[in-house]
Amino acid sequence: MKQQNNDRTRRQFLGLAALSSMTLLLPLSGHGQTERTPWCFSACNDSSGKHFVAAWPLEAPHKGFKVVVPLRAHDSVLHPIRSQVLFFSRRPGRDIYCVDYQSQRLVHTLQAKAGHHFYGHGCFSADGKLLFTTENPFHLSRSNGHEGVIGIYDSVDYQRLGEMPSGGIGPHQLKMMPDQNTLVVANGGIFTHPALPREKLNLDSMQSSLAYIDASEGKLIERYFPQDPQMSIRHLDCGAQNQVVMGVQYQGPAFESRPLVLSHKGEDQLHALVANKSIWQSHAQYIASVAIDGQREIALTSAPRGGVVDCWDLKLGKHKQQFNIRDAAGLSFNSKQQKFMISNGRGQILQWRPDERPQVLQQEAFQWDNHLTSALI
Amino acid sequence: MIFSKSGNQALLLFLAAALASTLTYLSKPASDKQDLERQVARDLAENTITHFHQQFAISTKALSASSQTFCLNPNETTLQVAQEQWKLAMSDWQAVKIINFGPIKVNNLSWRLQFWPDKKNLVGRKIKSLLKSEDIIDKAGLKESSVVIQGLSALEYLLFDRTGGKLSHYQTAGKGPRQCDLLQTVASLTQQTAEQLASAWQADAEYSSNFINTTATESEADDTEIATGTPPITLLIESVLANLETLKNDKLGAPLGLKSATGKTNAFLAEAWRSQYSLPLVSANLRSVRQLLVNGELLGLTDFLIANDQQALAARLLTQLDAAQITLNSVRKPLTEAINHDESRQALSKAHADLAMLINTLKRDIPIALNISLGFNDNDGD
Repeated sequence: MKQQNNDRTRRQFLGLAALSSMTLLLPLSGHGQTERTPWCFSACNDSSGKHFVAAWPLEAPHKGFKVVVPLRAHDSVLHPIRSQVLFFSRRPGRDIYCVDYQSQRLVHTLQAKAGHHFYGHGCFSADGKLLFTTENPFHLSRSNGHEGVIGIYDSVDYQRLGEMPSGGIGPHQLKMMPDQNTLVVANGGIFTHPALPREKLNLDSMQSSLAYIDASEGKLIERYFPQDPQMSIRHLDCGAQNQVVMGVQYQGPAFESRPLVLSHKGEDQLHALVANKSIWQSHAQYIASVAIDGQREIALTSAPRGGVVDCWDLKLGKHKQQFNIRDAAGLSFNSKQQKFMISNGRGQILQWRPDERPQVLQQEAFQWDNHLTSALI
Repeated sequence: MIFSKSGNQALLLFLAAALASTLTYLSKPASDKQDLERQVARDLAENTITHFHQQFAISTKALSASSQTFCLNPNETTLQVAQEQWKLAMSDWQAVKIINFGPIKVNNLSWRLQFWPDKKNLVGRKIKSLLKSEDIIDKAGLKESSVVIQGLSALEYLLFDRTGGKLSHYQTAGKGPRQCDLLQTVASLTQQTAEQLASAWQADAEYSSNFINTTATESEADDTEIATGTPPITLLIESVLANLETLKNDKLGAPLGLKSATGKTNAFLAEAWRSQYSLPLVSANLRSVRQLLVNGELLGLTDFLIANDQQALAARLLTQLDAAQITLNSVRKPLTEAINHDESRQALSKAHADLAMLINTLKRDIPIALNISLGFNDNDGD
């Protein structure tokens, strides 16, 4: 597919993607042939403010590598077919860094469509053929918020195939649901523009939402709103039972607190998990990451401003446990080893298994960025 | 020399540096640095920070007293005295609010003392509706009510607002007593909160000792150390940094229109537009930052840098701070007018840029020089 950056209709792109998949779904060397080992992926900064993306085997961190990148990256996602990991530059960045973890090189930098920037997150379709990214079509408006889009890319040549509406302003994290066709999107509701890169321009009128989108049709299925429009849903994880757990950042007055961890599992509204007021206050209005252990039905959330990580019992829908870990943001569940991984801005990588205390596995002179990915490769 | 200390302090610095090199020689650099950090933290907590809080307790007491005097006999002179006392208390608050950790975190005290930014004019609206209502005005009720009508922002409305704070309101038979009740109650509650904060920072208070002795990690039984606490110097640098970012972005940037999509100036976003006292407050704030850096006769943040062999960086911090202060001092008009006047607007923009440089030094260079890590993800906003 050679066409450059021109959007096509949904039907067209689906057909083209199916065509291209014929050549790409061949097993890659290494996959399925040797035992897969757990690796971690995270963006990080050094003390001079240089940006890197890092990948390392969990059990042998010294065998990992870091690649310097021009922009600060945010989340990462493993390519389902190739030996690549994609790092998304954070808002208002316009780069996605494709790093090959076998050759340990940056193999490609995907640039956002003109007039768009990324929000730092993305995910692949279940069959691995398509990459979905949350994007701000900022060229459409400088002063009024415009609904975000989900950019659609071919996962082989990274050509842009099209886009679909995200269901709200400021789409942030998105995941593919277990049905392998529904995208669940956290629309933060906050309008930003690269001209004022870190300013929130619509706090008085913002409305965040959780949107379910039919990925093959590109249509909004349903949308749910938090109890307070200034509760900005930014991050989420989805368990095997279709339960979506959301991490919220509250944009209201600093002296007020709101429940910042919400759940949705087919009900007609979003539910806050149950916790004491003091727990909600301890988050300092900010949840950074969510990670679910579907088998045990628990989730972790991180609150770097409050310096705490919380464990939630999803069966009972309530708070279970809190740990003090300074500046901890990145979370990931490692299903092979049945443990959670936690990273912080102090250069630490920790592990946590239920009924144990968090344990420091690594200490580096880097500040780990907001999100941590772990996967078998 | 940009900064000079008296003989006593020079001796202390010399001793600190000597201690540092001796301990380095004995291969104990970590504990040496920690001891020095505790000494600087103790000097700051027991000297400058305590002094900030005591001064604020004194000036809010005087403000409360002047409000009572004014209400006994509301006239131009007594109003002016109360207004001047408000300005003094508000200047002292500029120092207290830099210390954004510890006792002030409990129960939203910072918001109870100042409700700002107030983009929707909640202060004006809530006070007007309270005055119109028949709700009883007393300290217990006020403490439980919205933070919007407590503290210095509410007092600014009551003493300076062109309509809400008019002298005639206090002199009117029906309205006057109720308006006076509110003024005196808010002033008295503000004094009480300021005194509560001051006692929490006393040298023998629990918090002061926690602050001085916090280390970065918590030892675990199996010897792994999880980063939990924030050591005092890191905490102070983070709070000075947060304060300077508010100063640059909100106190100067927002009225200058640098934060809005339209780029239009907006006088109502100034910190103290009702009293036209915004710029003197910015100056007072910068003076207080300087005190934390230098700490008079005792050890301050720049001394910690010097003892860590970072003389040039210590000097640069003060030079950059002074540059911003000098630029701001050159603006003679109130901020609400200066933002719309070419010459003074240029000066304000320059002060904004001066502050950006100072912030950059604190954010980028100081952590490297001191090998400390400031909050990273906790400032992220994504």
